[in-house]
Amino acid sequence: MSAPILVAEGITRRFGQLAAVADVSFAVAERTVTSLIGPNGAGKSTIFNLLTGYVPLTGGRIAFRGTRIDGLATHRIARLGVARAFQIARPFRGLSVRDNVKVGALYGRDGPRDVAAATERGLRLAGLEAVAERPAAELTIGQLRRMEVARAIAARPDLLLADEPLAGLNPTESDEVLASLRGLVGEGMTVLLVEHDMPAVMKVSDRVLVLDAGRLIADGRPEDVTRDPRVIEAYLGAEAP
Amino acid sequence: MSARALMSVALGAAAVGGLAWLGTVLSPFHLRVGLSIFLSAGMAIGWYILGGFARYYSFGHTVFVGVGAFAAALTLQTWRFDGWVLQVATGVGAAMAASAVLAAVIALPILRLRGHYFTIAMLAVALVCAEAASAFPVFRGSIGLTLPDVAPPSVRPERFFYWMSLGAVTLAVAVAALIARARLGYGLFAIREDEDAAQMLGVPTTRCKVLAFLASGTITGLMGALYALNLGYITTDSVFRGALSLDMIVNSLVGGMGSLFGPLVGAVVMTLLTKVMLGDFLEYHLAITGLIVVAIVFLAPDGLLGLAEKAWRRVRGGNAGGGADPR
Repeated sequence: MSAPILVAEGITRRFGQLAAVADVSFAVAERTVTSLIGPNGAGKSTIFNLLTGYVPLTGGRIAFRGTRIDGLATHRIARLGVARAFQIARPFRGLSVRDNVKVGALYGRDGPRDVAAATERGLRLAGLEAVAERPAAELTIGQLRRMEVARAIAARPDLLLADEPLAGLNPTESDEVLASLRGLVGEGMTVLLVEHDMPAVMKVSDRVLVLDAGRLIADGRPEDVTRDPRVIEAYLGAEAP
Repeated sequence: MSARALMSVALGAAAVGGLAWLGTVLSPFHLRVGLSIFLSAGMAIGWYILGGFARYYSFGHTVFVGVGAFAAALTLQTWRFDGWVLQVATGVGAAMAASAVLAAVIALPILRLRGHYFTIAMLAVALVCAEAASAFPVFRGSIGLTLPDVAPPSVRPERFFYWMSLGAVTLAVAVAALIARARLGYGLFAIREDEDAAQMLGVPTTRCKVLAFLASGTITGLMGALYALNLGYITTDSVFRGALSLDMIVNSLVGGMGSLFGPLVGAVVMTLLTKVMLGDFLEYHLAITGLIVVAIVFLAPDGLLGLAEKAWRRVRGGNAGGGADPR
């Protein structure tokens, strides 16, 4: 296993009395797909918000490539090489698909270098070349989801946080997105995935983290995690054999 | 530079050349109309750099007209130079510097605000600065300030200011067009569409807004200096006018917020309509402006250019081109 690119130690986020994320620690190894799973409200999206600096921590620390990033502004974390593709696509509706992706390239990790190449790469890997000149407002849900990924790829991140990239996609589209995620790992990227589609998670992940009610209850290889009794009780429940 | 960009620059240069030549043949009345249009267009372009690109609507942009006008008047009264080049350079330079300083000072606190809060805060800034210009004797805003006649004796004043303001509006459009094509422009468009998503893609949103605000304020201040030099005599009421802020917004809305042509078209249409065709009904000017705004909001929410584009698409049959141009 290679060195961890991201280390979260005891990260906590309270909203009043409620601890949305409570004392969660994990490490993400470089060039892997790590999945974060758990029932609705388990704190998965909150963890993404904490990692990107969108919501401040109330406890703990986060290091990216050995550097503390908690407390940094969102755009600074992005510039260090952490990109996020949203669960609900947040396109720049008034811009063309190409310009959407170009924003990612212009403000990505290395700043404005090889913008055209990075833009084309994002469009190609997400299979959006055919609709590149269309306004983002005209895309289908599946295309928008792919555009989110394209925008994030164009930013040339080291770590891609993908928030339910498969939600609402048909099986063919899902397989395409999964293949492109594995392809990104092949090119040196690390992926942290939040996903509800369990078969997809088992297929694509090198490691799985399981959250329940804001706490980490399991952390291991997919096949081990599915056999963990606490996971079966908390999450897989009725689906378990 | 791409072929399309070269074409735009060539067409722009031809248009400016044509307008400059018109300055040699137009009657004094038509020169004054042209001058009004240029001043109005320049201010609208200045406003548009923040209001159009990032959709941060400033309701108090007249503050930069006022500060620019006062800075020009006060410096030209303090230092009396000979020769129009030095006089204009001093007045305009002081106006741009003062506007830039004001923009820099208020940018950080005010651009932390979003949407309506920013709009209202700018309104307050304009009111405070106007009060200050009147209340502090050093500014002489309530008595008024006289500006020297900077036009060289060999050129009619209206012709001189026609050319000066044409030059200024050309500069304003060039700066705005460069911003729109630069990295900053894409940052501003991203802010306009979704500020949070922009941040997460690495766009330094505060820095982008501050830079746009600086450019916007400085250009508006430049137009303010020319406005004042052309008037020859200014008071607080004549340059810190809410109506000027309103005109910048209305020109952009009437023309269309889709591209830089919007504020230009709006300035031409609104100036011709309110100052020329309705010149005999000056007391109804604001009422008519209001009615036009209401009509535009209901009938052509994307402005005249949006309306024209829709008509063009219908003629061409369906979705012709269909590309979204962020400019």
